[in-house]
Amino acid sequence: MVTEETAANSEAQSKKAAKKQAAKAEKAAKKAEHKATEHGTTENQDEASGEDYSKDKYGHCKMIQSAEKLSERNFVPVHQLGESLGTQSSVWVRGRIHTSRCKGKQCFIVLRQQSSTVQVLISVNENISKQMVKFSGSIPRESIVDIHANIIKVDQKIESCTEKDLELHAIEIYVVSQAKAQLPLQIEDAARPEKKDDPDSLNIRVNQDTRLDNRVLDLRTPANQAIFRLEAGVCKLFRDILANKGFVEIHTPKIISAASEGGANVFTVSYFKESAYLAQSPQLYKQMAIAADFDRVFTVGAVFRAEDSNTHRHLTEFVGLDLEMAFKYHYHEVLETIGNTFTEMFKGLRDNYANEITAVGQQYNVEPFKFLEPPLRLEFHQAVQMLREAGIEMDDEEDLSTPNEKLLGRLIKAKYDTDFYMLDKFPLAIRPFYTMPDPNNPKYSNSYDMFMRGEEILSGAQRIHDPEYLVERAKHHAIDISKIAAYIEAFRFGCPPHAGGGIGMERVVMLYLGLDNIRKTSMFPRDPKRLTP
Amino acid sequence: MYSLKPILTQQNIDLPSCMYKMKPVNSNIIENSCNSKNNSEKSEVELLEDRQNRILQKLDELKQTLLSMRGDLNVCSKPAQQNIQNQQQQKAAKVKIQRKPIDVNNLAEIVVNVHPKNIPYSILAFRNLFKDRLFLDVEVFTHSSISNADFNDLTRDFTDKITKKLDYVEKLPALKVTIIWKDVETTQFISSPSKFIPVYGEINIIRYLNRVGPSEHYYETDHFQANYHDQVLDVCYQLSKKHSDKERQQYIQHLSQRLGKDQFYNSASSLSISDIAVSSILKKLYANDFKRMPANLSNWLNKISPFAGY
Repeated sequence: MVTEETAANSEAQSKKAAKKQAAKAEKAAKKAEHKATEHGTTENQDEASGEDYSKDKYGHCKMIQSAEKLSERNFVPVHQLGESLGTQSSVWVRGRIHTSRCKGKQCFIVLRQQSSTVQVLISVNENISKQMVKFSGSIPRESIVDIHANIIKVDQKIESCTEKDLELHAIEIYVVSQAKAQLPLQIEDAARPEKKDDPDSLNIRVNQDTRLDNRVLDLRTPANQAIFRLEAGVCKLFRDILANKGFVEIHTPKIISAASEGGANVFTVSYFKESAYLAQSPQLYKQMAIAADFDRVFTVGAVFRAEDSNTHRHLTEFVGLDLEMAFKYHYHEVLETIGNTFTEMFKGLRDNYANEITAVGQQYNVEPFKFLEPPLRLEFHQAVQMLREAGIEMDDEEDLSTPNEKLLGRLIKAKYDTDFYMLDKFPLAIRPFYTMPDPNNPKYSNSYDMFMRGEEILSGAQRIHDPEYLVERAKHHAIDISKIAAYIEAFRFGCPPHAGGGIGMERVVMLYLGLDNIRKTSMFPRDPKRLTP
Repeated sequence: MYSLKPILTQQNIDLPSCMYKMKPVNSNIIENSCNSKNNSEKSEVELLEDRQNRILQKLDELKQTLLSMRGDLNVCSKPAQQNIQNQQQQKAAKVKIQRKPIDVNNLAEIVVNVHPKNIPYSILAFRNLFKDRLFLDVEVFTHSSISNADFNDLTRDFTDKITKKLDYVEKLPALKVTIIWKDVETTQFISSPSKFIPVYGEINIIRYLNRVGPSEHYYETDHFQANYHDQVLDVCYQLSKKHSDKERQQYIQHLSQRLGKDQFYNSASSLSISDIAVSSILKKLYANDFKRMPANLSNWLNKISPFAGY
C-alpha cells in the first residue's frame, strides 16, 4: 500500500524529482572535485614539480599518544616571542591556524595562541620545497600545528597581529590536530568589533544562538578569552579579599528538602523514593554557620532558579557569591564590609586585569566602569525623591520597577558619576519576612540592595536572629510556621546579630564590563530554553 | 567749511508746558565767537586770562551745586567718614535682615567634583562661617579616575578638617555637600541632574553657597557691596585660569592693592565672601609657602585662617 502510494507520488512529481536529482548529482560532483583539490595537493605534488626535497619537514603528526618526549624542542609562548628575538635563533611554537593565504611561492599564516597572534611566512627556498608551501596553505583553519621557525624582526609593523614587530620564518611545520574544513562559524566573524558608528566595517555577525551552539569555537575569540579570565579574577578577588577580612569559606548543600526562599521557583529532583529541591540560595546554611560561631563566612557555588524568565539578565543556574557576617551593634558594619569588598574588587580588576578589559573593549564598545571610594550609599527615600524630581510618580513603599531602577541608575550616574552604589533602608513591606525592621520607622527595614550600571546585583539585610520575633514576623506575612520550623529552630540556641547578601558572578562580570547579555559571561549558560552544550 | 542756508526759516513752535526749560547749551560758544570778533584789539594774555576766569567761575558754580546736593541727601561732607557711615548703614541693614530663617527648600544636596590639586578651601571656610546657622554635612569620596598618587598631605589634611564633627548648640538646618575627588580640569558642582546643568568654577560654588546660606552673610544686599565683591570674585576667577606665575602676578598685585592694610576685604569687620574666595585660591596657589606672596596678603591670610578654619 505504502509503496504503491509512493510510486504514484513519484510519478506525479517525476519532473520535480528529476530536477532534484540533477541538482544532487551536480552537488556531489562538485564535492568530489573539492575533495580532489584538497587531497590533490599532497597526492599530486610529485607530478607538480618533481622531487620534494623537504619531505621530512612537514606533514601530519602521528596522533600524540605520549610515545616520545621530544624535550629538545624549545617551545616559546607567542606573547613572549619578542623577548626571544635576538637571543634565540630558532624556536618552536604551537598554535592554531587563524588565517592562511597562499600566493605562488609564498604562504602567509597567522598563528593564534589564546589571545596572541603572530605572522608566519613559509616561502620556497633551498630548504623549503614548493610542495611544503602548498601543504601549509591547505591546512584548514583552526587546526593545531607545531611550527619550528626563525624569529625575524620586521621593519614595517604588522597591524593585523598582536606581535607587530616580528614574524616567524618557518623551517618545519606539522599538523597536530586537524580541524574540519567547514566551520560552523568563522572566528574572524565572531571576533569582529561591534562598532555601530563605522559605516566601512563589515557587518557580518554571528548570532547568539549559533555562538552558544558552537561554544567551543566561540570561546576562542580574544574577547571571550578575556571575559572568562576576568571572571576567574572576580572569583579570585572575592575569595582573597574576604579571606583577608577574616572570612571563612564554607560549602553548602545544593540538594535540599525544602525551598529556602519563598517556595516558588525551585527545581524538583527525584531523591530515591521522595523528591528534593535544588538550592535557590545558600542563605539558611550561611546563617546556620553564623549561629555555629564562624563569625564571618562566604561561599562560592551554583544556585538554581526555576524562573521562566527569558531576559538578558536571568539564568536558571548561576554561580552565587554569598557572604554572611555577624556584627556588634549596627548592620552598617556589614554594609561597609560588603561595600569595601566591592571597591577593592573593582580596584583589583582595574589594576590587574587591564589587558583583559581592553581586549573586551576592542570587540564590544563599552564605557570603563566608574566607582567611588568609599562607595556611595543612599537611602531608599532619597532615591524615591530623585525619581520624583525626574517626574516619576511612585508610592513611598513601592518597590523599584525595572525601568525606574534603570532611570535611577542614570540619575545617580549623572549626579555622582558612579556605576556602583548602595541603596539602604528599603520599605519593610517589599522585603522577606526574616528582614529586621528599622528601629526608628516601622515602615522601613534594615535592608539594602547594591547596583551596578543601574541593575541590581545584590540584595541583603539584617536578618532577624530572635526566634520569637521571627515567628511573629512570619505570622504577619501569613507564612506556615511548620514549613519553616527548621529555620526558626536554628536560632533557639543563641545567635549573634548578623547580616549578609549574595551576588551573581555572571551578572557582576556582565555589568562590570558593560555587556548586554548575561549569556556572554556564562561559559555554558542555562536558561529556560537551553540545556546544551 | 561750506556755509549752509538755514534749513528752517522762522517758525513758531508751540512748546509744551509739561517739560523743563533748558538754557541754550551753546550760549558760551556764541558769546566767545562774538567776543573774538570784538576783542581783536586785546592782547593774547588778556584773552587767556578771560578764559581762565570763566572756567574758575564755572568750577565754583559746580562746587556749590554739589554741596547743595550733598546737603539735600544728608551726606556728611567729610570724605574720610563716609565709609564709616556707609558701614553703619550696612550694619543697620544687616541687623534688619539678620536671623532670617534659612529657606530649607534651597538646601538640595550638591555634589562637587574636584581634582585633588584644586582643594576647595572655600567650602571649609563656609562650613566654619555658617556653623551657628547652617550645617554643611560634608562627605568625601574618591572617584575611580583618581589614583593614590594624586593625593598628598594637604588633601588628607583638608579631608580630615572638612569631615570633622563640629560642636553644634542646636539642631540646625543641614545642607549635604558631597565632595568627589575626580579627574576634572575645572571644579564643578551638580545639584539635581534632572533640573539643572552642572555649574563650573569654584567661584560660582562660592556664590551659590553664599546665596543659600544664612541671610546675614548675603553679599548682594546693595549695589555697592555686590559690585565690590563681584569684582574681587572675578579677579579670583581669572587668577584660577592662569597657569604661570608671570600671568598671575598682575591679578595678585590687584588683590593685594584691594586689601591694602585692612583686616578684611571691603574694610569689613568680619569674614566676607571676598575673603573666602581670595584665601581659597591663594592657599591653593602657594600651598604653605606664604612668603612668596605680597606681605599684606600673607599677613591677612594668617590672621583670617582661624576664622575660616584652615
